[in-house]
Amino acid sequence: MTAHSDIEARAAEWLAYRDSAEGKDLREAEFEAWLAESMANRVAYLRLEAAWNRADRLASLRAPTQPMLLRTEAPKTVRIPLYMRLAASLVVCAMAGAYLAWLGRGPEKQQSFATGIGGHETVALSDGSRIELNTDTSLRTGSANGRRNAWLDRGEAYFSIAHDPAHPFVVWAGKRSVMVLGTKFSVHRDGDRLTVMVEQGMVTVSDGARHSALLAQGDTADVTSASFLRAHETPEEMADALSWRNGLLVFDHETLAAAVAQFNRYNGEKLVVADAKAANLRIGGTFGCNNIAGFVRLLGSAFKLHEEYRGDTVIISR
Amino acid sequence: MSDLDAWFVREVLPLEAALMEYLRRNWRNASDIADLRQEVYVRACEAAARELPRQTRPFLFSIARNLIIDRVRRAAIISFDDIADFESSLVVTGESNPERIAIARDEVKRLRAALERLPPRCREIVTMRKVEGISQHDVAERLGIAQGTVEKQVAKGVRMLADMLYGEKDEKPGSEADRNSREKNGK
Repeated sequence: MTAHSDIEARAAEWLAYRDSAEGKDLREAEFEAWLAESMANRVAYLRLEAAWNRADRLASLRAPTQPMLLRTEAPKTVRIPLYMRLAASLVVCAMAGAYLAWLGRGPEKQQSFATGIGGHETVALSDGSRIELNTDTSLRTGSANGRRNAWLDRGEAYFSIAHDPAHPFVVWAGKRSVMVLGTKFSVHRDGDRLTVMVEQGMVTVSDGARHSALLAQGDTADVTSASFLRAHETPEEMADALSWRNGLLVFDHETLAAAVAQFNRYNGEKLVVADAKAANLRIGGTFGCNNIAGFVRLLGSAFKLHEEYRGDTVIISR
Repeated sequence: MSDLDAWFVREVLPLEAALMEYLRRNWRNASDIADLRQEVYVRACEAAARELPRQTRPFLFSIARNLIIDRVRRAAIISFDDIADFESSLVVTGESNPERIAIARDEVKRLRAALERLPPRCREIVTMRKVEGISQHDVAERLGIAQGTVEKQVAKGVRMLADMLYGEKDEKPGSEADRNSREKNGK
C-alpha cells in the first residue's frame, strides 16, 4: 500500500510553502512536476488545498477594526486604591512615549488598579482599550513580548479591547487565561471559579492545562478546577448579566440565596438569610446594586419577610 | 484548476465521511483506512479522467467496494467460496443507509469547532493566518519565530483541518443533507 501519510506530509509542506507567497519563489515548475508525478500526489494536495480554502471563511470572525487612539495617561507605578478615568471624549495626543512603552518597546511598566466594595471604575489604556472594574476588583496591566497583558487578581471586569493583531491582549487569572485580538467581553474571577462572557468578537479561554475553547459573540465559559463548561446566551441574557455596568442587578427567577450573594458583592452591609425555606424563594426584578434598603423593603412587602439590622449585617427571616 | 480537479473537490470530498465509515466497517485494520481512502480517490480520479460519472456516490462506493475485494484477494489465504461469501457480506452504506454526510448548516461554526481542536501553538498560527489574515512573514515576525516554523505549523494544521472538515460527520439532526435524504426516501 502506498505510504499515504508520507505523501500527505509532502503535500502539506508544498501547501504551507506556497501559502502566503508575497515575493517568495513559488518553485512553480518543481511543484507542477511533483503533482504530475502521481495521481496520489495530486489527490492528496487537492484535498488539503480544499480544506485550507474552506478555512478562509474564518475571516468572518475577525473583530471589527477600531481606530487606534493615542491617549494622555500619566504613568503610574504606585498601587492606587481608587482610580477613575472615564474617557467621554477622544483625545488624540502625541504621547508617543507612553504608547510605545505600553507596547513593550520600552521597559515593561506595570500599572495597578483596584476598586473597593461597591466600586465601579473605568480605566482607559493608551492603546484605546477600556477596562471597567466591578465591585471589589483588583487588576494589573503591563506589556511584554509584544503582548498586552492584564492580570485579574480578584473580582470582575468588562474589557473593551482595541483591535491590534500585532499585539494580542491576554487576561490572566492565575494560570488560566483569556486571549483576545480585539473584542468586548467580561471576566469574573471568584476563588476557583472563572467566568467569561463574550459580547462581541472572539476570545480563547485556556485553563492553563489541557483545556481551551474558542468563544465568539454570545458564548460563555465557566471554568473551575473540576470543570470547563461552555454555554451560549441570548443578547438579552448577556445584557442582564452585564447590567452591573449600569449599576443594576437583574434577577430572573433567582433564589433569594443567590440574589443575596450577588448583593453582598456590592455592599459592605451584608445580607444574611437566616431561614432555609426563605433562601429558596424565587425572586425577579431589577435593583440598584447598592439599594439594600429598597431590596429589603421589597422582601418585606412581597414575601412578608422580616429584617433585623445588627451592626454591619441585615438578617432576613420569616 | 482542471475540470477533474474541480469535480473531485466539489463531488467527491463531501462524501469522505460516509466513505470513511464504509471503509471502517469493512476493513478491520484501522491504520490502513486513510491509505485505502486515498487509493479510492486515486482510482476514482483516474477513471473520471476518462469520463466524469453521472452519479458520483454509487461510482465512488463501487470503487471502494472493489478495492476492498482486491485487497482481500491479495491477502490471498482464503478460497473462492470465502470470497463469494465475503463479497455478499460487505456492509452497504450509501443509498439505502439513512445516515448521510451531514454538512453543518453553519460552515463557520464547523470551522470554529475544528480550529478549537488544533493544538495551541498550531491554532494560534492558523488563527492569525485565517481569521486575522496576517501574512506568514508577519506571523513569524510577531511571534519571534522563523518563517519555516510557521510553515511547519500550517502544514500540521491543514492536515488536521482536512481530517476534521471532510472525514468527520456532523451529527446534527435536521441538517440539509438529512432533510434531502428524508425527502428522497419519501418520509
